[in-house]
Amino acid sequence: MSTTRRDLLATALTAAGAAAAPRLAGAEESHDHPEPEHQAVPSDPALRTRALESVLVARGLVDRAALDALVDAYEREIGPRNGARVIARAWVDEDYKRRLLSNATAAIAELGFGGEEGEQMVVVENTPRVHNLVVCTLCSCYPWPVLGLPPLWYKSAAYRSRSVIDPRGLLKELGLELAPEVDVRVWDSTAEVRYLVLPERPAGTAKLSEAELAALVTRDAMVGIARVTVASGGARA
Amino acid sequence: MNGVHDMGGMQNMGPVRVEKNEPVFHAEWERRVFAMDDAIDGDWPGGAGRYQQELIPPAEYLRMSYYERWLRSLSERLVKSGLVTRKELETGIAEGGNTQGRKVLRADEVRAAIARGFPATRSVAATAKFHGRGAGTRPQHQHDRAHAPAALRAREAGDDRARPRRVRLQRQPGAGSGREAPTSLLGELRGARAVGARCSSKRFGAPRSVG
Repeated sequence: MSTTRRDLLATALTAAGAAAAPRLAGAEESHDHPEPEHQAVPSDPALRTRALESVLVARGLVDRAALDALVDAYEREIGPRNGARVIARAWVDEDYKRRLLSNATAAIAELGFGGEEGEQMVVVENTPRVHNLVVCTLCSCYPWPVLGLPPLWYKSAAYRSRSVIDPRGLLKELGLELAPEVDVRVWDSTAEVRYLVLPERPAGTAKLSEAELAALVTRDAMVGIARVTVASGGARA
Repeated sequence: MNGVHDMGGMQNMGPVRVEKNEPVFHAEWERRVFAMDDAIDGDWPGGAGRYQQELIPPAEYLRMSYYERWLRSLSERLVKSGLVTRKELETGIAEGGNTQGRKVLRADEVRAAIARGFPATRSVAATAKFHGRGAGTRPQHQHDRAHAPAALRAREAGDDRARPRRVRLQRQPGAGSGREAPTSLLGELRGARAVGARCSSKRFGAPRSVG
């Protein structure tokens, strides 16, 4: 990221109330969610954020390059691809799976993942008789090292409220219908303990390599709102 | 505290909408809020960020987006700590000088900081007094710190997995720095089959099966 651009943004802050201000919010980088074309003035939180960053930098409380590096790490590297590798390894290596279920944090560290917001992780296994679902009713606790930052639905009032009293109905609405004999277990995360679901390995994948299996594992399956299917493909979704 | 953030078991919050190909952030300012909150070495105990969110008045909390709550929480913590003034937050112009002597995260330290994290686990020689059937959570209404979510208060533990493997200590938000209290049973109860089919709940009336 360009320092000069940020400095421009910072100095433009006080003038941002002027209708003539250009689009400054950087929303052009998010193609899925562009700010409305008519919004010449950045949104209130965008302005407040810029003000805060300017003050923190001027007072020597944060380093802009470090902020960029943090964003880069969580936007480009730390995400559900990591978790998918863990799941695929557990599917092909029984010993690894045992270690994963008995001490997830250590087993996940074998693949090089761990740390912030995943200091202690627990893996819960789906079977033909048990389906696990992870939530954080109080906010958004989530195993960052293996799944990255949580998606909007996980943080939403709708999911946080309903998952603990009607998980079966909720899952059905999301396209995952569970047989009545399947036991649903809902895990309410804490700041200290984060959960990852080990989904069932789909049928017809005996010949797939570990990497090919990992490519089937989705974020949603590792939270428990979906199954892994041969067609599911890609931990980004 | 008892607040609108404690959503487990509430109804009428609408459908869950899963966004296809959701980006990690939805706007540039969200990136910056996330990173500032993550990077800054504030004068607050672990968990203070969430507690400060819980202090947002309910109507506002429900209206705000996720990172708007982060921004509010971070701003309030900074003001309370005396690191930033409200006027500075409004103007974006620093009035105090460069804060001396404070550890600032540098770009080349970011990877190591992420890998290290902030472990809350301490090794102590203690075993749980109570576990399994018959153990449970108490009704509690404390304003000043984190405790069991409402959906899990006054509940029996579902099965033997409620046994704490070890006692964890966490610095409590809102209690000032340094004061520590055990939260182990809570953590394990929340984790262990917290809302399974065999749990009974006084809050929700008669024992029920939710599975």
